[in-house]
Amino acid sequence: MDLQVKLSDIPIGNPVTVCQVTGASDNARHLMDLGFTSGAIVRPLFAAAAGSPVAYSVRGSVLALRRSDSDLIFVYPCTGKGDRA
Amino acid sequence: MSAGVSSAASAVSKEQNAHYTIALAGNPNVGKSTIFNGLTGLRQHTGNWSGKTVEPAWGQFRYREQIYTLVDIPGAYSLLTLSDDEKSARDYICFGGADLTVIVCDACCLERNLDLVLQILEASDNVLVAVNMIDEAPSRGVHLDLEVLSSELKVPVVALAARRKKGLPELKAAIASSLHSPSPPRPPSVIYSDPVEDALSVLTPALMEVLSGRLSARWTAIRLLEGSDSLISSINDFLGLTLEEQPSVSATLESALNILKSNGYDLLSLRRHVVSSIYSAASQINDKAVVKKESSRDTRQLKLDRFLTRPLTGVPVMLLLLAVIFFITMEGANFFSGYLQLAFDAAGMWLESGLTYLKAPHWLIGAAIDGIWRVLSWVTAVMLPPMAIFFPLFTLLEDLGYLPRVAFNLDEGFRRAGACGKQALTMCMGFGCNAAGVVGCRIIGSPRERIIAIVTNCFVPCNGRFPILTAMISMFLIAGGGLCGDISSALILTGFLVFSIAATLAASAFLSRTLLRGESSSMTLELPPFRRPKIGEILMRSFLDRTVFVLGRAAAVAAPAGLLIWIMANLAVDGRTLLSICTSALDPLGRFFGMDGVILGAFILGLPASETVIPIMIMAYTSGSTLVGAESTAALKELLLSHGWTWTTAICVLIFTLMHWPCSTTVITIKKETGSLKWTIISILLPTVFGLTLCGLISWIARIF
Repeated sequence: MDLQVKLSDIPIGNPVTVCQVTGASDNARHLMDLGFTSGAIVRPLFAAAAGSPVAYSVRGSVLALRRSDSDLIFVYPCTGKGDRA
Repeated sequence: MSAGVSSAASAVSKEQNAHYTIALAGNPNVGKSTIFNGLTGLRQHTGNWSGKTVEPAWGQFRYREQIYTLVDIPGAYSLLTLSDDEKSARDYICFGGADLTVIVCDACCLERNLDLVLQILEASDNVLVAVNMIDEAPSRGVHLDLEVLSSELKVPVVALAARRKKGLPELKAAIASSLHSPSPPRPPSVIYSDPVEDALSVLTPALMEVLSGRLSARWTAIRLLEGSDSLISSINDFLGLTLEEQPSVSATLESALNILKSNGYDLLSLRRHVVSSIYSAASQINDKAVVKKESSRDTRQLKLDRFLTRPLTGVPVMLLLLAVIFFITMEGANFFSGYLQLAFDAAGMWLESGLTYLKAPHWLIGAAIDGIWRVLSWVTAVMLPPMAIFFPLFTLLEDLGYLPRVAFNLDEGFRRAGACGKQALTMCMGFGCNAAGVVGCRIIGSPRERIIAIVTNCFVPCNGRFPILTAMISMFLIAGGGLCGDISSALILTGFLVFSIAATLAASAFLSRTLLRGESSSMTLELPPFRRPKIGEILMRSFLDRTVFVLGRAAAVAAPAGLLIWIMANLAVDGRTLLSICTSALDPLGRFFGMDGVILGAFILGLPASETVIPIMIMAYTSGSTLVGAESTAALKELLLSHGWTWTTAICVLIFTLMHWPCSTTVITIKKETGSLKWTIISILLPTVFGLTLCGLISWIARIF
């Protein structure tokens, strides 16, 4: 839990668990509306040619975020067991 | 958002004849419009992407002798939201006064949908949950227990597959029974921490008195405590009073806020607590009602997605798809145009001889045949077929879910231009109709980026301008005809389209460095699963719709335009016709920009509908000498060449077609959407200046060589 990293730094294909969303409250809230809430499992699926945006699978849907948005989301690596899918 | 509130208020007067009003709410792209169409038999536009519906739509259906009014509300992720279309959704759900709110959910991502369900349950009394796309759930590894869901939410739950028209009768029955036997009062759907609940229990009774059932007291209390200004002002607008100034409310609000403060809550931490309470409630319900496993369909979807967005394949596939669509359009259009022209020629001759037989005066025959009939036949025979073919093909891609992938691929370009990636979606809508594209810009949250998208929308050619491009390309830029010619035409047209997208980006970048200075902000884009389009239905429906639309415009706009031109060509002052006076006045200006007075005049007169530009041009060139029946491409080319057209002229006309003032409908729409005369004028000037500059440059270079 002590190894929090930004979602934007996670390589494609590695599932992670959302720890918290930081930033201006409206933006953060919108990201939470979209499903990036603490405890949710997020997997980066693929990136656009320029490296941004990146598509993430989260809570059953696929969402593309720009780097500036995924910078706001702090995550820690999945432990595998005990996390919700 | 006074606009949303007033539209909700006007809704009430519309609905006086019906007995019940039902709102269809839900996340974007969960099939609300499909359900709406299924229940009402209407044809609200549907498509596989988020943000397609930006304005509520009304319809009615009948069930057991009872009339119900159904309102299709734009999708929203949350009631505490950012973009304009979501605000209008929120205003309708909270203040629209519907008797029942049907919340449509996507069976495959129920958990996220539940956030909105819980928020609406807080705000409204009478709610029904409809779980749509239940047919897709098994193949995506999702297993739902609807009974558990219903008992957890304490509202009725109905499953349906609206695209396959399954479950609609059950939905109607559930709607009727929810309305006739209202459910007993529910306990709160989300329980907050003890201090927050304490604060609520202080504030709620005072609000209950003031609100007298017009809004949920608990919901209003939370909004007041959160201090969300825009929402509170919407609430006050709706109630017609200032809540915080009511003596009983202001006193209790004060003490409620004190309770929160003494427990360490400030505005921000309270908001976080509210949001995370809703989400944890949603995920608890989801855990009880849903089991999800990885499925092979997910893997296939992912493969397709990677293919469509990979650096090596993403953009080439996009261009190839466009080229294929253009090829099919041109091939098909040639086929239909030929037959339509034969029919129109025959009918025109028949009409003329009929009029002569009736001894109609010479001027009447001229006005009817050379004026109205010729423009009408041009618009229908030459302009209609490409439009009627391109539009359904494009709708197929939309239904498949391809458009969000285009936005995904182009986002970085738009970000560098200081614009929003969703502008790619509104740009794509602009290919169909610029006015529709301008309205669609409501999906863009940031006001600055929204204005950029609106002002630059007409940089991409709409359906009405495509046939001008294809005609110019096939006449002047392609040597041979046949299959080879069509393939190269399609490729050249794709090239012009890429050029128009580049121009959109350039114009957006220009705006965000000058008039609308700023960096591009946040952009979140949902990539919906690909769905097999319902090919037959789409082809027929959008083909017919387009045909009816263009024919309607032909009658309303093209025919009067034809008459006007004929009159101008036949009314003489000092031996010169009005038309020639006008066109020779415009001629120096036109020539400076590589065109001539007739072309410029045709574009000006084509303001109400771009489809009429070429027929107006032909009439102006042939006025006085009615012998040229310029109906076929070859004859038209002869006519244009005889009036001094060159290769350069054709290029300048092509560029000017891509970049000039928007048609009058679009201008009116821009005024309505921006509410500003300044931005309306800028949207007219910007493309015109871009286009004229390029044309001037081209003709200057051509003069040097």
